Amino acid sequence: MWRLLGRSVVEGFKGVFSHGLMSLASMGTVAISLLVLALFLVLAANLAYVADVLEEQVEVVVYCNPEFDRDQWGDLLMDKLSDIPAVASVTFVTKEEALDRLREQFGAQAELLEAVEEDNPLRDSVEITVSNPAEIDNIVQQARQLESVEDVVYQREVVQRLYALTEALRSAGVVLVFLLAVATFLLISNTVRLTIYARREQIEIMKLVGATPAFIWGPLVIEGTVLGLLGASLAGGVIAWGYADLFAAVEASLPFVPIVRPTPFLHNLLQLLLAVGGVLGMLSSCFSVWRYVRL
Amino acid sequence: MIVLSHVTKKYGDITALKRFTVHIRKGDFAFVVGPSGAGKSTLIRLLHCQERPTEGTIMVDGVNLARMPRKQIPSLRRKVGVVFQDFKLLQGRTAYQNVSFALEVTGAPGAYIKRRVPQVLNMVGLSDRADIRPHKLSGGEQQRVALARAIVNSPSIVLADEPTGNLDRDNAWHVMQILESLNKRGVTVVVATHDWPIVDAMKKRVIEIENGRLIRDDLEGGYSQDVASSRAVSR
Ligand SMILES: Nc1ncnc2c1ncn2[C@@H]1O[C@H](COP(=O)(O)OP(=O)(O)O)[C@@H](O)[C@H]1O
Ligand SMILES: [Mg+2]
Repeated sequence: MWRLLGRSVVEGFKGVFSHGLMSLASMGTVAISLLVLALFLVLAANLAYVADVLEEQVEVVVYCNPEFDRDQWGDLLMDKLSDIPAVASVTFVTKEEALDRLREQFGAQAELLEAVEEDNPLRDSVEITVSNPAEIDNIVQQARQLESVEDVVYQREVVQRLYALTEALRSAGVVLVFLLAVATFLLISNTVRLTIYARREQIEIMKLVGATPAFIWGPLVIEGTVLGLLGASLAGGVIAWGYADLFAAVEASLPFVPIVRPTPFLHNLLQLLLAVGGVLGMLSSCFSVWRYVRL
Repeated sequence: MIVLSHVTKKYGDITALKRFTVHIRKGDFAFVVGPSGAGKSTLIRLLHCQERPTEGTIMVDGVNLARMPRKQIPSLRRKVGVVFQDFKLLQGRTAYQNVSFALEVTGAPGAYIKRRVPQVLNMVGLSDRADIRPHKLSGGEQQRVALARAIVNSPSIVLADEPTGNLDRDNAWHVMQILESLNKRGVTVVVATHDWPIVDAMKKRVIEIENGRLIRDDLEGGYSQDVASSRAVSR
């Protein structure tokens, strides 16, 4: 058993090198298919990331009624709001802070505010960020029922459009990646089938002199796996190098554009590519050798 | 040793062998002759289980090939050496490696392989050509490599399908002499051929097939019943 495995590994690697051109061609095909797949994964990951960032900006503002005494009730209110499902964070904004912000926004025209400054008409408020925009109606309803809450405000339309958009981005990403995975599988198994087909004579001869199917399979399956891994490394290398550069460039010149950080993302992507390449190479050589190995 | 009883082999609508019955004893040397398309190759393929019969039984060494489980095919092929008209050598490997390959397949120990392969190459007269690849060998040399590969596992049966079909006279005779010397050592030899001068000269058992049926089985026969004897006489 171990001997068979050892021999398969040795012969499998020999096979990769002794069929140089063919190996190079299949490795290239694997690399290109996986590269396309990886590009889409990068795209999908960034779309998902953008969706996350946008979602984090969804905000519900809870205004307290004028009688609200923040020293007495502030903590309790915050606790109650935090306990509502899908609430990501709560920030207390005192009416003085609110006025300051307003002043900032008015800038040069701040003197217009002088009239209201003696008796601040603003309210204490709590800004809530939401972890799932689908839950927003529920959050608003529950917040409204709390004592000392006067009003709850959020931008309904924006939120709902955003929600639809992020959902679409996510499912499009999943569908695209799935389709590409299928295409990659077909392309890789076709390539491996070609390399095996080119060697059907050799397989025929092995059977003729009494080789067992496992003896014929072993090296060819290892060879397919090695080709898959090599192709995946090539694709991974290109992607890693390209993405690191892209990230550096975006971060330097367009810092406000949300983009997934290379670590640990690239690390995971590389692992995924290697796994996909290896498994696809192995599976497709198993399938294509099977036809010729049957006695 | 080899017993075919009522063997029928069909390829779709074509019947290649029809209720074919023959008994080949241990140590026999038998030629299988007949016109092209008679079923000679089919017979050879059935004997090393490259094909299974549609009907009938094929006993080889007491095992019925018609029902033998697939798993046992490799071990049958190690007991039955085969050579073909087109040699079927691995092009990327030297003569030595082509022969040693058939032993590696059986899991034979390396020391034994190193001892056995030169022995067999010597037997077919190729000791000095061991490190040469098939495309640089003559047809006769290639066929002898194939023969060496067929016998390296010390099979009790050697099958040959038109082994001299691609060879010139000298090489054809060389190959036949090797087969005959194997036969003298007790190996059962079955040769499908239409090489009538060889069949006529060797005076071995001749099994003639026509349209998939056995039509003649002579113990010391010629290539064809009438012409052969007259040829033999006129020679
Ligand atoms: N794989 C096959 N598929 C279909 N028909 C075949 C196949 N092999 C042989 N035959 C047919 O079976 C008959 C016998 O063929 P074969 O055994 O090769 O004859 P021979 O070797 O005596 O020339 C022929 O009619 C041939 O066309
Ligand atoms: Mg034939």
